[in-house]
Amino acid sequence: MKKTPNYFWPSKPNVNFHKLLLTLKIMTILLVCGLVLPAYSLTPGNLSADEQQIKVSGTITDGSTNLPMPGVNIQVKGTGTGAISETNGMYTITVTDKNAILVFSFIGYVTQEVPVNGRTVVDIVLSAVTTNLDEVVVVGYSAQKRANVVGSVASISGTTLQQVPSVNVSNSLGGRMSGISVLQETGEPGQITPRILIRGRSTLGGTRGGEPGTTGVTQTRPLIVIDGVQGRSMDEIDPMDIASISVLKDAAASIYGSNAANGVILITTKKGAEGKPRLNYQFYQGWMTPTIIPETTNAQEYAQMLTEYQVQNGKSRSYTDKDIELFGSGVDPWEHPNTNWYNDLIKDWTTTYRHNFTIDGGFKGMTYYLSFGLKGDESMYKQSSTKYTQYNVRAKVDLPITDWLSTGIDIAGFQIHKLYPYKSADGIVGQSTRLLPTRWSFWPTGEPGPDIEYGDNPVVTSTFAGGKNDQMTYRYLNTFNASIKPPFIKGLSLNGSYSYDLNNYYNKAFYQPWTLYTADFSKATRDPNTGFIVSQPLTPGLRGLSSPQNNETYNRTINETINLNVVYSKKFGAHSISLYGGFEQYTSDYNQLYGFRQYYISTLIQTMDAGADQDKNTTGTASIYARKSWIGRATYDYKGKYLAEVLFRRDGSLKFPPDSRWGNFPGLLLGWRASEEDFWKNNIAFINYFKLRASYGKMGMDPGNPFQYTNSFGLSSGMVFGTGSSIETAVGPPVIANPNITWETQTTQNIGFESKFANDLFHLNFEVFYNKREDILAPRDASVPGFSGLSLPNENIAQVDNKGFEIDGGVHKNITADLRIDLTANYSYNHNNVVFQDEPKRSVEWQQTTGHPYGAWLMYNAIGIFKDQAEIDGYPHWSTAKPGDVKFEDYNNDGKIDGDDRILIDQCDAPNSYYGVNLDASYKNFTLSVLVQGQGKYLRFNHYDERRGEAGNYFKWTYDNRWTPENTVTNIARAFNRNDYYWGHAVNMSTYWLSNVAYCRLKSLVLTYNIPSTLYKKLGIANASVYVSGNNLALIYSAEKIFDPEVNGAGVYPAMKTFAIGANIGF
Amino acid sequence: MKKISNYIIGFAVLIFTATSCTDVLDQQPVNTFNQDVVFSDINVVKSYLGKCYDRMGGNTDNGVLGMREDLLSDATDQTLCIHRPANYGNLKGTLSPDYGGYFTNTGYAGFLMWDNIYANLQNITTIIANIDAVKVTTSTDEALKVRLKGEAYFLRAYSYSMLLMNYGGVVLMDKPNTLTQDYQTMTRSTIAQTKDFILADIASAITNLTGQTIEQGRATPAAAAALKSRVLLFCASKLTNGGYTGQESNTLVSFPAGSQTALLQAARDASKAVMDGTYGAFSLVGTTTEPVLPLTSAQIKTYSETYQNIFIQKGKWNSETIWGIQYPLTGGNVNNANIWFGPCGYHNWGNNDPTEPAVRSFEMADGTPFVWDKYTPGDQYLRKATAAELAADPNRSPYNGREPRFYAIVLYHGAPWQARPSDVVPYDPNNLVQSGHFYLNDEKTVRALGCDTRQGPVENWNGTKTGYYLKKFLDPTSAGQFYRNTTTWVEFRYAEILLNYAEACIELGGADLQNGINALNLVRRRAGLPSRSLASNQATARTYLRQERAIEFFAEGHRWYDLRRWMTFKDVVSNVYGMKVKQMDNGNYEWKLDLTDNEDSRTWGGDKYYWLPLTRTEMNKAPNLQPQPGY
Repeated sequence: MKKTPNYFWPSKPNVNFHKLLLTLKIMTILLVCGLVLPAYSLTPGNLSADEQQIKVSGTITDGSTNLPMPGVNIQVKGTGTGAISETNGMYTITVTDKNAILVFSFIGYVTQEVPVNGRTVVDIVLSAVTTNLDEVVVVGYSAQKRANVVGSVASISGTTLQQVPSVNVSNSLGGRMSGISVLQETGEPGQITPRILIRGRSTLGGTRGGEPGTTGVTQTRPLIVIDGVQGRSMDEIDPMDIASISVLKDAAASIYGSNAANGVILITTKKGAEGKPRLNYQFYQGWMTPTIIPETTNAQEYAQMLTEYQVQNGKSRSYTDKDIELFGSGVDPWEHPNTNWYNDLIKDWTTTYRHNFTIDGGFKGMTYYLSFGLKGDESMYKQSSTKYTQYNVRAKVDLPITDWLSTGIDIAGFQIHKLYPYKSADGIVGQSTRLLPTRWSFWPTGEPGPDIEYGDNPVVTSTFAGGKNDQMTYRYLNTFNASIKPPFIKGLSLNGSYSYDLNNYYNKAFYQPWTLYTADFSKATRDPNTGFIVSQPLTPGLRGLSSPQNNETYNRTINETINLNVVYSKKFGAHSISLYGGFEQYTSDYNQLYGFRQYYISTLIQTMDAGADQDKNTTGTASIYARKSWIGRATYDYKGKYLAEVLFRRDGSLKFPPDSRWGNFPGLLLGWRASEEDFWKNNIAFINYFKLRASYGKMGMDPGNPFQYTNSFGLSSGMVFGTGSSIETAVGPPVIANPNITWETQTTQNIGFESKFANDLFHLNFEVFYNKREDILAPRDASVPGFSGLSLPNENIAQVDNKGFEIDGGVHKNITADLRIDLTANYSYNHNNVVFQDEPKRSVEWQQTTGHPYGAWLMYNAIGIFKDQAEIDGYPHWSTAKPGDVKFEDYNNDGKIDGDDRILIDQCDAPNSYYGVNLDASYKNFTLSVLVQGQGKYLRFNHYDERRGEAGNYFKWTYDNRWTPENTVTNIARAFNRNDYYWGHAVNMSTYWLSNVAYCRLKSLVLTYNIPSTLYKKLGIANASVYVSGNNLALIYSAEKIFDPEVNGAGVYPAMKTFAIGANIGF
Repeated sequence: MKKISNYIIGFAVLIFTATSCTDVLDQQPVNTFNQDVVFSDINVVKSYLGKCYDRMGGNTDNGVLGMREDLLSDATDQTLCIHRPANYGNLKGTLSPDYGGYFTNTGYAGFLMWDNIYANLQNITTIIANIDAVKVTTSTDEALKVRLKGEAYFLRAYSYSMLLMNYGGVVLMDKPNTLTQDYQTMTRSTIAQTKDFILADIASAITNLTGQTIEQGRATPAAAAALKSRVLLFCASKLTNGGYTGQESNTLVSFPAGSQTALLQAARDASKAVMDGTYGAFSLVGTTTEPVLPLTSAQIKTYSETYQNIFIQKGKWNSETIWGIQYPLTGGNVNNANIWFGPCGYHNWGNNDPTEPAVRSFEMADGTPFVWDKYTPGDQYLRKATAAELAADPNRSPYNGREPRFYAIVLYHGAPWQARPSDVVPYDPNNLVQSGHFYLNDEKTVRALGCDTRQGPVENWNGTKTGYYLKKFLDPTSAGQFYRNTTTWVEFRYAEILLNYAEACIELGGADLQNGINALNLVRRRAGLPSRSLASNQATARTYLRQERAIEFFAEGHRWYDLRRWMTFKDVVSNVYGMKVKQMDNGNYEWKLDLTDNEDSRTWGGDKYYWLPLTRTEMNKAPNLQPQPGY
């Protein structure tokens, strides 16, 4: 089919216009700021000096953010002369020798020595030290220096995040830190909540990742805390606003008590720094194309395969040999089309973009940080219907009132707009793998062809022809805080904060009939020679819905958090202590209203009242949640050598009855910085840093609905009684109460070390952990049969163990003054094991899922394909087996294949191992950042749905090398139809339908060029850089043709490969 | 300094306020009731009972009782599920404790499921156990309380009869279950005890419901009495009275030797009580006077429509309907009969196609059997007729001159049906079903592919596999591709009572035989067929009765129970082949049952298949539960 000629811009002109306008607006703001503010902030240096002295000046920028760096220390080597860079990153220093060497140093950054070589302008890019001991790490309710952290806390700085441009943050986490796997299971714009696992899973529940059309996130989701507040969304946060992300993996998470057992992700946003206003603008524009599109058979292959099935099973043929030939030759598009639905649906390229604008600064202790962001992601559908657009603003002001009282306010707003066509991605993309290639997406004359069912022809239903799903989310996040530092007790502060987060979600789904065309074959004009149709009348018809209809949903969520705490820290000689005590209360209130009307007389007026009064529907619901917590932390260190930390949290939850409402969650963490000991320094000094850590802690999890401790009777619609048509409201059936319900508890043990060798040239960290989750909420399945009629409540009965280790290491070297390389790698492994669940005794012991990892899948073991009747006769089989059928293993060797032969297949839930390799290199004005990531064995379902054969196309992998009477030695089964073949996945699942999605991919690559400031200094621009980047550029993977290893199967919107350009300008 | 301490005091006050004032942890649920609340208000109990109605039948896909995408009749010889035939394991030899297909919800939806029926029983029993204690003040509410209790007894009886008729004797519980109960030692009751339990509930239902004003759709004394007629007839059958060789003394599935006569009498009397108007006046719709043969085409149409209107009722039910389930256009339970069953050339999904043997079983309009090879004796597969021959004898078409119900139940090639959707009008301006193809006069060259076939131009993967569509439940006034059906699923109707009575009488024989034939003839005459004369021998009468039940209740699901009761399943299970119709331009026709087109391979797995197996999972959880014989 026709390709979109212009690759670079979306095809809809109004969208272009809208974007252009916006870009213009941003550029105007930039220009104004660029011209006015620098002029205001620049102060001319004192340039008078005597003749022998050479004035050297230049700009110092941060290599990762490209922001100017104030406060950098500049020394002339071997002299006492020094200078400090100004707020705009500029410096001036006087040297007396044209061969002098300048030393640039800044805490947390790699010190650089640069010969002047007679130059008068020396621009410098400083890069952060990646394993810096002075780096401040947020650990939950406080921050610690990296050297003093005793928990297993992975962290990533905002500068690193911003270095790798990506439209959302969660995508930037995978591969960069050990112990965290991020599974982005769809590429659909706006569907950006990934499945994040910290150290795999230590619990039951949720669905297997490998199962068709499901994602299991609820029970395993880590706690996400943004600026100290829970319940905020990580998906939409502007990467530019992030100062740091920390992940608490071990007992360090105990400070979050009842919600922390799956680990905690802490995100801290930026705040302003004192100084003249600093402006920064970042721009990113990417072009995306699917990584892997599931291949299906073409018309000829499909007809051939269907015919094989029909012949083998004594059914009448749908296609003659002549038909099959014509499908292949393509000479008769009216009656023998060859449609590639996917190609007709999508364009080769689509776009994604991001703009960010920030200003920060401050004076006299008052600081401010303002940011504005815009980002968008467009769909690959030809009509660009699906669309994700987000605007975000953030204002953070810290205001000292007196010298002992300071206050702050942080306000963030998000407006998220998602547009989807009438059909969901599953309905469009999934159906495209199912639609028959022997039917018409478009008629040869260009009109859309007929439907599959319900009027669904995805080339039309992927557009707004059938109406749209218009989803708006408005988030308002507000935090007010105050801090009192009484001058009479040094080290003491009393702090309080209050957050009020309001989320409004509004979805208007207005649908309308669309037009498809039907051909009248009996009135066709045929070529007298070939007999092929040359033209025929096409009849338009309205399809899908009888009349326009409107579905509106309005959700409101209010989350409030109050935190009051006391902090005290003190140093007594070589001893340092810090204490934290706090109280926190979190409440959440959710409300939903839904309305439906139909029979709209026109699509022009789409309000609810314009719909007809009959056959309408309204519904709604509400829910509440609350938690109160007491929080404590004490840390102690002796000379930075012996480190200890005690954590405590006591949580009370609304979900549980008063008797079992409160839970205690302690944690103990110890560290020993052995490299500070004299014996170490005297003997193994080449290990210049070594810290041994151990932790033990308890934390909890409270999944599921509140009020499970009472019999709860929900509301729903019931029956129609009487002679009208109204539906009675029904109550129940009840969920049986578990009056004793309480937390799941997890004990976590972790031991590990951090080390650096040869003066920070190498680093190596290693840790091993053991999580034991008890009291997991699960039904008492074994002892309560179906005839009890009870819908079993969850009880705190199950136990899962999870063990693993993580290793990360790297090399960090300045090879020359111009070239620096940081190469790091991490590898994580974990393995869980269901220790107890109330499982009925299986008739054969190998089907007992207890003792297997969660998600083990019971199925037949496919051990090949019966090549002929003789092979069937020679091995146990089902009576219906034919040559070409899947051969199941007779596992118990009893000479027959039955339910007992099914075995449990592990590794169907998530990969056990995953890894990442990062390379950061800077050479002169270039920096390169490369991330390779991958995962180990993970078995996933490789089909989409059962409707293949008569009712749907085949996947190409089932066609290639399939069994036929001529091709008998193969690992692909014969042609089949839906579920009427005994080895079908819907009837009898087997390993035949699983693929290993272990993979290794070039996840991202960014090459940045820092433009020398001499080129634009006069314009008032402090720094400027441009970059090119790519995501998902290369992939090593065995199930190539079927689907991307990261997405959730062949029926979901594919993962995208992105090529992007961007720029960063600071003033 | 003083100022500072003020701040600190203020801070402390703040902590105190936040922690002690309103305890956010002591809130009540905002979107659910708890049990105490439910049983404190009779109107909430009513809504709880509403949920029990909503879950009748043990189905999973919103379909209450028989109305669903894949019908129970697909488990018999009458119809074929074109989409998911493999889920009917009883026709595939695959039914086992490990694989129950639809009966254990493997693959897609499910019905008559053990777990679901028991879940509803728990709810119903909870109501029965607690309703007496609900405080009411007015006499209206007092009456409501009695009525709801009666309805609950009916629902419990209905649920247990589903279990009895599929599993035999089952675990009986008259108190709500608790989590702490010992289920390990529990066992199934005998089929006789199960029957008695059901009859007691029916009696309680009738007692509590009698004299009440009851809205349509809720349980009535008549519904309870009709259930009694159905259950007793099942209990009086060959299957449960020594017919199951080797299991004659297995009290789970067989009554004690010598019980059958008494059971038949009880079944007869239960039906007779309804016929006598004890529970209200019911009658067959339409006329039951002896038809004057031959019927005119207008008369055939009238008889046919009268019959079909029973299944597409909306609003107030007719005189034949004893009890049914109503469906709304939006919200609530879903009845999509038109799109589920209708021809693909209407953008419908063509499911539950009548099979050729079932189509042939319809009589001719004069009450004689249809004979396929009437014109070419010995050829059971091919019929041909020229235009001239058809003009001389229209009955050369197999679809001409058949009994009126045929035209209400089956859509065949050439049958008139709804106006086509606009996009299909070019293929069929005449609104006649095209389940065959159009040929040139050479009888070889296709001129046009029928738009309701699996080769046609419209959604052909939903085309019929047998050459027929099921018309019976289709609402001619509704466009299935856009709208749900709002027609009633009739669960109990008077015709069933008459044929239950007839069967009991015929099986009793002797003096009852005539009464049985008389009742049967009422149903026949309403259908426009001539009366059967008194058969001198019971076997002939039995043949008449079985023929009548098959046709009268076509696709309503009774066949599943009838074939098992009579133990005739094994005689009717056979592969399903497609009927191929060629319509030539010159008006010649060819009808061919295509043995090269095996649309569904079927096999009968033996007598054990007369009962559903208990699942292995259930047996593992309750090891003392007696297994189903044969599995």
